[in-house]
Amino acid sequence: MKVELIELREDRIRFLLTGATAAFANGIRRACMSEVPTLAIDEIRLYDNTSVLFDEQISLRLGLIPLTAEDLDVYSSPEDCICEGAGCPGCRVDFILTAEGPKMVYSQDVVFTDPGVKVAFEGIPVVVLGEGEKLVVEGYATKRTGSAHSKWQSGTTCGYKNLPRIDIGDCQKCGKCVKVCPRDVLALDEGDRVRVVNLLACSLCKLCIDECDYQAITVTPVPDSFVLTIEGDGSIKAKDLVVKAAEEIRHRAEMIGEKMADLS
Amino acid sequence: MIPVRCFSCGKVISNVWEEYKERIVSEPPGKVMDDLGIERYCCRRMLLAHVEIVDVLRRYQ
Repeated sequence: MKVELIELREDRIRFLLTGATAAFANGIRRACMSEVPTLAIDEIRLYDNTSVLFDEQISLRLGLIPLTAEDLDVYSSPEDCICEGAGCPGCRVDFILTAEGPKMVYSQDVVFTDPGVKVAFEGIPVVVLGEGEKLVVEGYATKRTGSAHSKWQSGTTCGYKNLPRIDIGDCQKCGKCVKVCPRDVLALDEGDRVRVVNLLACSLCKLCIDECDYQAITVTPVPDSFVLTIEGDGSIKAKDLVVKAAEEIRHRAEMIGEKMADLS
Repeated sequence: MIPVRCFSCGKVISNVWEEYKERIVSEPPGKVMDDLGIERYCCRRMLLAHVEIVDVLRRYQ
């Protein structure tokens, strides 16, 4: 198995995975979305809310704000905590949010008791308060995975496709395929021959095959090569997200191995 | 209020809403969204189609 980096940004990573099965590529994708834990506001208590939004709307909006932690490993998920889910500082991060209008309440107004825990994005409007309107909220965030609720999903947009392979045979240099391609994968070179200029952009739509009158072009997926695009929600760097997802898969595979060893 | 995240893909889009709102007065919305890193059309419609009605609602509090 080989991994080749295509693009790396804080919130997104694209890489080429060769020599793997579709099941493995999909395993990475699914682990990124539902098995990498993150913090999210779980329960809130509203002491005062005279804003235009209902209590439920405020709680929904707070839950969707991505949270970052300096060291996420110090927290355990409520199910695995020594308190057995009763709630303790080991599995909860308390916060308070108080505001009085007229003002816009932003995500950065949420103050956590642990200074290492912060909102991933400042400037997310929570609610706008008019003259004399008040909001007093207290609550806690917990660490869970995306399989519990999408607000704990660290990987938001994750996907993969097979690496395309484009073969050009007896080209008649008409240039029709270049025009029809919606992603500018093909171009005519100096000798007016069709050339692949941007292979990774190809979505295997096969419009070029239909357009070619001479059946000179073929597009086939390479069965063991995948282009994975993983985008995080901002609470974790995309690079770390993929590493953690891979660790999770390894951990599970080891667990199966141990169980199997016990059986035989 | 602008939804915190994109309905379809889950990308946080509300943190750019205020800048977007200010800039579309003088610039084409498509260009502003390109600048702000709103790439997919699911996220773009969140900003493009949003109507702010909280201030209208407040009159009936």
